[in-house]
Amino acid sequence: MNPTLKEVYSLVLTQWPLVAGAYALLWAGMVIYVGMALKRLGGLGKQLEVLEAAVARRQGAE
Amino acid sequence: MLRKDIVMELRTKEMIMSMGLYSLLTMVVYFVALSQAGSSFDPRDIAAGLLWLAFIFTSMLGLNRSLVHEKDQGCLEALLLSPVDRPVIFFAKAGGNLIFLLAVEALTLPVFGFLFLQGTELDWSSLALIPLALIAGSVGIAGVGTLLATMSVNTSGKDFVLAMLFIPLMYPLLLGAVTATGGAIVGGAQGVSVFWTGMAWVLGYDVIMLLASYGLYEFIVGA
Amino acid sequence: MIALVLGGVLTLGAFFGAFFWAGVPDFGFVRTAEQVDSVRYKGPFEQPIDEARYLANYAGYTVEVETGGESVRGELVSADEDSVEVATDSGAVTIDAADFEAATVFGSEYGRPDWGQKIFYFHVPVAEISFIVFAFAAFYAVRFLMTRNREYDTKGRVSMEVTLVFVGLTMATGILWTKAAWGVWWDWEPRLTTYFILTLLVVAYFVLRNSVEDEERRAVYGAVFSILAFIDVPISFFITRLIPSNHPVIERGGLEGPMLISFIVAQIGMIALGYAIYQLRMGEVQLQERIEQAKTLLER
Repeated sequence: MNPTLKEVYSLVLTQWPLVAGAYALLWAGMVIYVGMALKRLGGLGKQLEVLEAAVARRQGAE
Repeated sequence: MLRKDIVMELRTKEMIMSMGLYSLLTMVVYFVALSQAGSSFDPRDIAAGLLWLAFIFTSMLGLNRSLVHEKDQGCLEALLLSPVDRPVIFFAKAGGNLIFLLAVEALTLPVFGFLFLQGTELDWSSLALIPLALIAGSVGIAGVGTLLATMSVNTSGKDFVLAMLFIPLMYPLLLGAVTATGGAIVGGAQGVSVFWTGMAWVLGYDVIMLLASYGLYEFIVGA
Repeated sequence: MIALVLGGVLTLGAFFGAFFWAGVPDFGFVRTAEQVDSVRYKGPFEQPIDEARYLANYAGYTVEVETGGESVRGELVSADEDSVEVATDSGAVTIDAADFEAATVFGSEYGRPDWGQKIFYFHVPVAEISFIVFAFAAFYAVRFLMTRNREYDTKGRVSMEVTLVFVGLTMATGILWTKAAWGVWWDWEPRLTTYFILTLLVVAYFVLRNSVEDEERRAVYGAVFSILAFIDVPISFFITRLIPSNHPVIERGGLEGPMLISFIVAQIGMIALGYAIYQLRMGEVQLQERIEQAKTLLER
């Protein structure tokens, strides 16, 4: 690359991995957090269904 | 209440002895820590920081012990049953802690000067301002510290929890106090103006935090 | 759920806008002798010089030297304290420093694009949201202390968790931006320090909660501490305006066009995402409570 252009874009050349890292962190963080929360929510929902069915049976038997 | 604390202290001298010795030991550690630097630095620059470092950690020790005592003896529960206003308990405890802290500071300051500030030029007129900074800073430390220690004594972490809560909250106060004390130690017209800037920070912090602690204390004590 | 999709779409949109649409601001400039084909060309520049030795850095540039009432124009070959050598059309001319009066250097100027500024589109919204959610947490804490209603304690706790997420994101993006803009990973300047203290305070909140066994006491202590910790938020926010600091402060009307729109879209997107995360956690907490209730019913 023309040395002048290299100097002009010098900041970009050093900064782009950091910017990419920041965005990747943001996205990964959000996606992973939301994904885990949704998974836990699903698991808890199933647990609740089972328990409430048991409670209903217990109350039906009484 | 305050009288009870002071009388108990005068009998056992436990608090002042332990806090005072702790402060002294910190000085020894300072000496070792700075031994490699030789004489290439100006001790006046770091004196303020070192002093307040010692005071903060000594105060945490004192706060912990004063409230552990209360808890062990069951004093706090007895007090709550009596017709004493909750905020009064706050002032009494904080006042006691403040007096102990000030006593220790009054002892430490000359010792520090004797050990580390030998042979440096000192501006005695501005040094007289240091007690102002010490008092203002200690008021903040004692007030917020009493509130936090009352909480931390009831946790399973005790002194760790106190440190975790205390140090971040103390940061603005510490910054102001070190600035002010540093300005007073350096002296001269500029030092004095720096001193008053720092004092503004410290006093502002004191007002806000003491009001908050005073207002929130009854919730803590009741829980 | 809607908030989640909305937030996701908006942040995605802002992301594309920021990268492909918004321009890149300049951070300093580069000067050269000859014009190079470049998008960043800002125009020609002229630099007046008083003393011969200052010309030393400009070898290769077109200069016009005034000496003895005349102007000599050409390409600068070399310059030092004693003499200046210029290559004109009619050959090399050496000018003695004693005869030197003034000179002007001509060249091209280019702006250096600051790619790191792209982080700003998300760093600022994330930081703002962290403050706002903290405010909500403090509000719920106050309401809890006033009414002793357990619901407010739960709301306060979940708000603090969301605050923790956003504070963590702000610190991470902030550290990366510090490296991109100033070349160091950390600097003890007012805004960074007070925000770091804020991080410690939010972590301390959870340390406190986890170390108290009694439910009621845990709630009260947590509420009291979150109110105390909230005092650091306005300090952290306003400190760049009170103490001179390196941290960029945005004045009104500093942005325009595609940059402004991308920024606003990112802000709204983040608000939506913050709300979505809060609702997710609340839903989880509520499900857990119902499960506990069902379990106790079954055990009877």
